[in-house]
Amino acid sequence: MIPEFTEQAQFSAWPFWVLGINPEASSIEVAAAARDITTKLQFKIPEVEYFQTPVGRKTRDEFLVREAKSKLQDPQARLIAEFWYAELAEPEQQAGLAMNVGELLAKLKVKFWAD
Amino acid sequence: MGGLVFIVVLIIFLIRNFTGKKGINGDQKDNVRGNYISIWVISILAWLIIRNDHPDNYLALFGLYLWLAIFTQPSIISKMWAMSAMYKGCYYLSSLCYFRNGRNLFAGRLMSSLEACHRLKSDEDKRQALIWLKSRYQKRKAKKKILSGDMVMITIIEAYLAKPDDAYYLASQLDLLKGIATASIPRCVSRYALRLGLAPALANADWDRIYACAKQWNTPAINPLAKYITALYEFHRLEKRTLAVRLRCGLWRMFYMFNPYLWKLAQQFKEAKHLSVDVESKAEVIQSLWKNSKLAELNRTNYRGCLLNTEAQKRWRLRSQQLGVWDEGEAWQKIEQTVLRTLPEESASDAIADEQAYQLMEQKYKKLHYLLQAIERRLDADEVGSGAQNFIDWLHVRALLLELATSKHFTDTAFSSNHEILWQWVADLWNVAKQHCLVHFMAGIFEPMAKQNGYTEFHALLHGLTRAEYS
Amino acid sequence: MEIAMSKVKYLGIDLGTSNSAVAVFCDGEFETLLNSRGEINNPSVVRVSSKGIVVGAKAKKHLYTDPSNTFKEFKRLMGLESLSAPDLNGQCWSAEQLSAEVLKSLKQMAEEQCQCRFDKVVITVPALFELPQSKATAEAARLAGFDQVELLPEPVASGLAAGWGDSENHLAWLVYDLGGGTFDASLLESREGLLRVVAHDGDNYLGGRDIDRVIVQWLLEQLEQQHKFVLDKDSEQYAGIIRYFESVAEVTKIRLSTTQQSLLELEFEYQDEDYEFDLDLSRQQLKQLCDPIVQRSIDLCLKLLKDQGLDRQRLERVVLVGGPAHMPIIQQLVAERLAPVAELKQDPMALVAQGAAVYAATVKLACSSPLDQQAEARDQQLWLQYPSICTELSPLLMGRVIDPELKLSAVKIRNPEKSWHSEKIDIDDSGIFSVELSISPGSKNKFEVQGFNQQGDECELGYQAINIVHGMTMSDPPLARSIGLALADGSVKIFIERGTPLPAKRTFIQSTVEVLNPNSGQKLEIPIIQGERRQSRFCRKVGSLVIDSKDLNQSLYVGSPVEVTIEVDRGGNLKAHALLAEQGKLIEGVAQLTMASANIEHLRATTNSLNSRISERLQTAFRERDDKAIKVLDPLNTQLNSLLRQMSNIDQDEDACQRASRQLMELEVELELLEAEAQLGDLLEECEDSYFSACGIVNEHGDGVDKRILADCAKQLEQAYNRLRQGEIERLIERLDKLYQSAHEKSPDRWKDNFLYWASLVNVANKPKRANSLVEKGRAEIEAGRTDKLRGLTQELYQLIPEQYKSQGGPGSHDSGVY
Repeated sequence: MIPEFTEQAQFSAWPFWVLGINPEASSIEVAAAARDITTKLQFKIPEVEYFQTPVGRKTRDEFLVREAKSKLQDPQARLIAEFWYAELAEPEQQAGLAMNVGELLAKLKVKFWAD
Repeated sequence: MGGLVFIVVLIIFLIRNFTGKKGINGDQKDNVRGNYISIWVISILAWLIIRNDHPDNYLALFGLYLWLAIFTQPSIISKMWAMSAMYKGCYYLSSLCYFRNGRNLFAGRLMSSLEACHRLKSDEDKRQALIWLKSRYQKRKAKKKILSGDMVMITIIEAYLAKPDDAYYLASQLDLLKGIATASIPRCVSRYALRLGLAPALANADWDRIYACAKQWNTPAINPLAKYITALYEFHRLEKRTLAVRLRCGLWRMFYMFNPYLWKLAQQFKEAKHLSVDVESKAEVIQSLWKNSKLAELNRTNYRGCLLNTEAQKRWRLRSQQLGVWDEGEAWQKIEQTVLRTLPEESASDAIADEQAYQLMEQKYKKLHYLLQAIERRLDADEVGSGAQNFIDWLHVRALLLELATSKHFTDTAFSSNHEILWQWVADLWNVAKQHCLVHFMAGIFEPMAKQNGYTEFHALLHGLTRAEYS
Repeated sequence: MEIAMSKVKYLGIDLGTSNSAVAVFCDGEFETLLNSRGEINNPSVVRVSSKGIVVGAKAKKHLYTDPSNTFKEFKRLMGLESLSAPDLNGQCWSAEQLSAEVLKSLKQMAEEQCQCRFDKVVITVPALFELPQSKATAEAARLAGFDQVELLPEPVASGLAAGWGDSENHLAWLVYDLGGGTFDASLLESREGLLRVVAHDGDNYLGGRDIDRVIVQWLLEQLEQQHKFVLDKDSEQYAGIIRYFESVAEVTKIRLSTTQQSLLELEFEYQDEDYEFDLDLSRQQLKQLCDPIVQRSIDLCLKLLKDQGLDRQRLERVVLVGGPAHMPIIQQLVAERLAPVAELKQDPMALVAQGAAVYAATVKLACSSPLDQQAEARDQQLWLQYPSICTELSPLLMGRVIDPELKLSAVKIRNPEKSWHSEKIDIDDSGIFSVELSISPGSKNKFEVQGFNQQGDECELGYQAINIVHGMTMSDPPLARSIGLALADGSVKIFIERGTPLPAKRTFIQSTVEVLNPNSGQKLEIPIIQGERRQSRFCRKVGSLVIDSKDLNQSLYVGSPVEVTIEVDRGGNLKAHALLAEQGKLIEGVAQLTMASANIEHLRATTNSLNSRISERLQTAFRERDDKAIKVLDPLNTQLNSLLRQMSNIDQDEDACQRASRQLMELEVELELLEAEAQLGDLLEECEDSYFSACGIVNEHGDGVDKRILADCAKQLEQAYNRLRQGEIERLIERLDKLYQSAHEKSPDRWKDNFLYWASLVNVANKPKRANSLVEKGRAEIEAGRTDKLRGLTQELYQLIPEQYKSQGGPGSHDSGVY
């Protein structure tokens, strides 16, 4: 579980980001999405372990996918997730400045751990 | 003969170096530069003498040429070694980089070695290298004084060890160093720290934070980028139209060549709507909350109206029926709570309305309590501890005090309940461990808290400490 | 081309306290297995005889005649350290071992009837089973020869079976599972083909057995009243006769489900005499006897509804599960007080096992015949992933080529029975393909895979058969009780909340509160607890992580971060590890604990202690005419008195001890809550006193800063009255005391007060002559009104007082900070 998601209410839409769906998805689509991602994780398909959030790219595993599915199957939790849902902005739309901190560090020519 | 003269002079230099007059804060910057120049001159003289006296002694000449190359250009050699990821060599060689690191040689060594560490291929190798560096400063600062440059490097290394690829965490740790005396921070360190702090602020387009970061690292060591950003902000946002600011702003053209990425910054400062973001759609409100919670606090009425109006309530009650929520009223209440938790009504210092928030603060308060108790036990056992360890403890205390700062109740109580331990800690660090630089830093943070809580004697003491000259 | 198609089956076992059942799910249908007597129920009774182990009805016959070698109702003792008394071979049995024998016999029966090797199973457990109990159940399954076990809460299993094949949406319904030894209630919701477990609750010490006990108690009273017959508790025959009475009670209870009146015919031998008694028991009398038990179960259900914010009127139906639940008196009470009882197509006695079997299909615990298993192992070339049960009509099938020698470039999927086939799907470079299938609603669907090489020729393929059943799916079973860490201040940090779907894994970062130096011989323990209480001492410890100093490279300082990860799976397994990031050390492994046996002496002592605390509180409440406290304490007192009576009869009955221990803990929690409220009252009074003292001195001697702080404290006092938070009030008291001291420092009489205080200790001074002289001088200065001279005298006097007297609130410990 990612602490920002549980501690800050404005990130309550996190289950949608984890499963890569929007609030129009039905409960069947939610289950199908969860199953699809879990299978791809088991198959170790590259890039499936990452997902986009407003605070950057995060990693997901089958535990997080399961929790996201459970949240969206609970009507109360789904309601709050839908309330806080908004489209994720594309990184390039951020007024010419890169959204990704890693890219920024490279542009500022500073060596960082991940390089 | 020339060689013998050279050796004798070198020995005299070494003796002078170790027994010479120290600076007011224990550093040897004045001595060091003077000695460096002296050795450079003597080395050239030795070269001339040996070349004339022993033109065929190729071995001696080779040794001398090698010595000259390393000694006169140690930072180039160090950079070459850094590119080869030879972090241990860099660490030892950087002792000679006087011009680069003269303000704080040890911090410069750590910085140089860190640059080499970044070139290592695997994460595990990097980790091991950082652990080795950590052992260096723990050993070195067991008895010796810790200076500001050391503190910055220790913070960076500890942050890398704790969360290696979290740039936000690193920036937040560097934020804890606000108030540190900056005179003895080598330029390579302050430039590196500035960039590390800038990246997250730029990612969030947080102009105020960018300015604060630039001001923090606008040190006496040359840091043009910090000067440039500070000047731009003051010119465009604070509308300072002094000559000095204008001249500094003129530097942007030079920086555009080296940092093309930042060329839009001036424009962004000009155009940014400072503290008056008006958002009308719910999506914009939410996206704004993701990016910048400070703006959210200042626009709470507007945001609240956008999220919790009557129409919204109707819509979400209907949606809760569709989803099959059992109690619509309770469902809407829960939504309201999440909004209120994000947008506190009262000023930050008094808001402990939410039980969950209170419990979190209570936990932080207890953490601080345990930490200070452990420090007290250590002091009572007459073990002040090393400079590095005290600094790390201080960082933990500072981080917790900052977290508690959102509640006046907790901050005031934390300080007043523990002010005796803090007093003893400051006293022992000053009197016993002679960690004046660290105490100066701590005093700057505690002074306003002591004043606010009415501890006049403690405040007077701290006030005196902050007025002393330290680098 | 022949394709390996095996007939897979899924096994589910209901391991009950009194009776167990087995069911198999195959091709979309349940089959409940009958034993050799043609019954669904297999008594959970184990007998050790000279010929070996006997399980089931044959063993049950000897419950009365050979009680020392016949074991029953050991489910409630799962996970406990305790062992049975030695049997005829001198062996002491644990509940785990006994359960393993039951499971072994059920496994054998299933394998014989189905001609299939069952190495995977889903076993049901009570909803509120704690981790050690769940773990013990999984361990019993392994002892019985199962390789893979998953556990499912009983009411969830019943819900799944009850909802299976029911296409209607039921917004809220309840499963009421009253078994032989445990009671479980689950609140469920079925909507759009998804069965969601909303919440569950229960009581691990409430069941049919308790009804039997109540009947036995009535029976003993009747024997005494009507026939003057009293059983001696110290007699050797006592246990055996009570067991006989319980078996008669059980039969009578069952008989009263179909008749209004029943005769209890008692025939037994006691102290070398034969006795025969006949007692009449009517259904109405039985209803009165078991009303408190049933009411308790209904109260639990109502609490469950209330916790979920559901009005009782909105509960659509109740599904009754378990033998005792089908007693007409219980059915009637449930229908009156909860909601209409649902009529089911399935046999209620088999519901739990059937639900377990369906769940086994959902999680793909497939078993097949030994021949099929060999063929599969040999021919496995494709790894296929698809839902074996799903609600949608177009499930996704994903596959991967795992045989490196197989040169497959495309596949096609077809359903020969329904004449459906997919397009040719290309396989990507990593050997993965995915295709959307089409299934028919409400039926089973079998698919075949055709493989094609690069030339387009068909290849032979070996893979596990694809069977997809269209039906109801279920949300993941939730964790019954929250799991977390006990913190240094006695509070709890919840890691995985109750209701989190399993398996679950969470990571949090905690900080150390003690220094741990390498090789110092010390250890740092991180206790893992399970429970819902905020204080860790009211939760059960289920494991611990230990950081040994010999494992450290360097000192672990206070405040060092420790990243703790806790993982729980569906098999009752708890895994945890702690990462010391700064040292790069990973501490793995959890020291698992079994639940301690309840010590009868400790229980008696705790009961007596609670008794005196409650009595004291009651007396105070009466004295102060605190009606609110009396209202809370009275029922606690009643419960405790009932417990005290039980204590006298408990003896060595482990089950009764555990139940008493659990009841005592709940009583203690209630009392603590009450005492905390009272303590809160005392704290508020103390806070007020501190405030008024500080007010006086600040108004007299305080400066602007002191007055501002006082105004601030006044605001906080008002908030403290509203919020009633103990920590906040304690901190406010501390702050007011400091404010008092700070204002007092400014008082011109400060040195006079200090001087007088230390002067009072002159008798213990190190140099009495010098001290006396100082005191005389000081007094002279006070009389002359020259209090400014007192500072130096006080400081000198202070130096002469021994250390142990200085900590009792003398002047501040730092008169000067820097020199």
